[in-house]
Amino acid sequence: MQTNEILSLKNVVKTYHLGETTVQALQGLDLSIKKGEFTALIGKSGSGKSTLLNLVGCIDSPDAGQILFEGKDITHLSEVEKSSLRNHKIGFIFQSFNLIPVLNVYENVELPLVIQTEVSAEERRNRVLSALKDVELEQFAHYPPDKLSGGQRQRVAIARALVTHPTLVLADEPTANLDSKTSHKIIDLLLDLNQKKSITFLFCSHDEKLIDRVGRIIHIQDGVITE
Amino acid sequence: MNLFSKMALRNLWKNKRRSFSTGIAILAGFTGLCLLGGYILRVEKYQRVSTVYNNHTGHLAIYKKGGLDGFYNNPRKYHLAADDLKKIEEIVTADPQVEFTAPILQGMGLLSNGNRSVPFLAYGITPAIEKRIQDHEQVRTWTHDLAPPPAEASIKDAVGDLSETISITKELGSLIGRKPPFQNLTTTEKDVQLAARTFDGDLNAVNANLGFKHSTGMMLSEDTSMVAPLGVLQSLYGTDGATYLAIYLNPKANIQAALKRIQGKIDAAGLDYQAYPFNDDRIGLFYAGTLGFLYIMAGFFIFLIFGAVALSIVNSMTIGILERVREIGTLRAIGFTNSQTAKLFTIESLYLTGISLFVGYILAEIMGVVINALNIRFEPPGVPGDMQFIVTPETWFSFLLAVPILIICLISAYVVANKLVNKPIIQLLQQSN
Repeated sequence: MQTNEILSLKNVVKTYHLGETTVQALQGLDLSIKKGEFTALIGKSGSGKSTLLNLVGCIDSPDAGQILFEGKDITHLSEVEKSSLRNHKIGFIFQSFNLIPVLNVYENVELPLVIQTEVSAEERRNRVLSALKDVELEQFAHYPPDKLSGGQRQRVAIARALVTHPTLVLADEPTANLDSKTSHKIIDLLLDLNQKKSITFLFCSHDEKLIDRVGRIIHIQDGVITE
Repeated sequence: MNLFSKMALRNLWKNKRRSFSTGIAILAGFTGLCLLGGYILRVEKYQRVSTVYNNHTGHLAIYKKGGLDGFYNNPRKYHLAADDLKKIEEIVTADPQVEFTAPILQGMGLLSNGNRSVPFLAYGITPAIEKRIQDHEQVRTWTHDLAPPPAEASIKDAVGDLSETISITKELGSLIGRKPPFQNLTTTEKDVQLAARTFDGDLNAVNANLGFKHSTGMMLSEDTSMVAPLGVLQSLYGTDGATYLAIYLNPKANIQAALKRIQGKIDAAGLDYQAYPFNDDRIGLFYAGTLGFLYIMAGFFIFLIFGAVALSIVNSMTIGILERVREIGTLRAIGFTNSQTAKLFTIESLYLTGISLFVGYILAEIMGVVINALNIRFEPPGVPGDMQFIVTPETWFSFLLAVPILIICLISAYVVANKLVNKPIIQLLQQSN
């Protein structure tokens, strides 16, 4: 194993059973991601890219194979250990932003830190303000999510993903609900954060127009990497 | 205020209609329980004061051992003679919780107006002590309905133990053709004779005058009850003693503790007397029976209302959680555990229940004041005449009711939330999308 490898998937299999139909989403997939890489998973709808992100993010479990995160096998962690890993090491950016509607921008970003008891109130405040500054939303801190544009909401979601200082950020179709111009801005922002903070990004998209500046592109089809 | 509390309160506000309907269910149930509790507390006070003071039982009644069952068959053996009364009084008056004592002589016989005779059950009391009883703050507060109208004289006005003026109920008076106010009767109409067997078994009779009226507060005994100065009955039964010594404690005293203490002193002195509390069903049957029935009824209502409150919370939580599947999935994805997510919903339930209980308590207090001001009168079963419907919600009792409701709500919310959030995250996120 290389020393700078943050993520390694070995012969990962995932099958879904939809009634009598069996869908093999991932068929013995192998993948390695290095620290600081900005990787795009490209594939058509149903190709298995979201399944791959879900398995890496510990929000789903593989049927077979091994997933190593920072050299540690995470496939057999308990639910509490998985929660802690997601909270401390992994940031999530969702296609539909998934902001909490009753919380304002500041509070949405603060949310993952609230359950980190080791982070003091002052440290929490500093981190939230810093994350909002990174996504250029300081002046919108007290806005409710429904008063923001789609691009602004996704930037709030990015700030929420970054506030815990994760080593890996997973983004599932982060631009699917945005127009073309805003989508490019979001990708630019993610790239900028990747370069400035050396955070590893793994994002999936079916829009090949967005990926011309991405460092590494992985094509996935029928649950197999075709790169 | 922390973020969990902000989320809880804002979600409650966001779903105003559902929060309101659930809150109203809790509030209505709690207000009803507070008022029911207030009514039962009022009845308990009424029955307690009626039994202890108006019916001369005292908080404790000290009999000669075996006297409670054996006195009427063998009064000579089981009565407390003057020496016995003196010994007991020496012991009990030393107790700091004893307010005063009263020797009570019970007996039965015939009351005659010269033409017609009817049976009576009499209490022989000391008029000076009776005055103290009827002027007692507890009696004036809780059983003022039983007091004779100001125009009618009461046995407390009798002059000394040897006064021949007795008190009877309105019903007993009507049986011998006399109507209250008895003090306004002519001298001839007032004249009555009391006949009975003495403690030695001889037939005896004494003269007496009608002059006072009282009520027992119990229909059962209303047509036989007589209260006479102790001296009149002692003369009738040929004794210088009493049936028992009634012990009146400080109203806030712990009765069981006082009973244990006084009985301990009696036993330590090697005396053959037995103390009974007023709520012992052998001497306070009406109190014990009435309260037993009310407690069972209250228990039934409490069970129903607790169940309704729990179901309201379960229903509200279930709908709330099903509406927020994406939010739950997101929280889990960013690192919240099942129990932390369930805690968020439980905090919502805590706020909703807490606010509802507080408003319910205020409402119960206001309704109590309004109901009491309306002076609603009714005739309770087993009680002669009408009485005011009074509810007296008390803070400590409301608190006692609120605690289990709060606990039920929190447990219901946590169990439902924990069950519903405990799904695979991928399923929660996919359901929303």
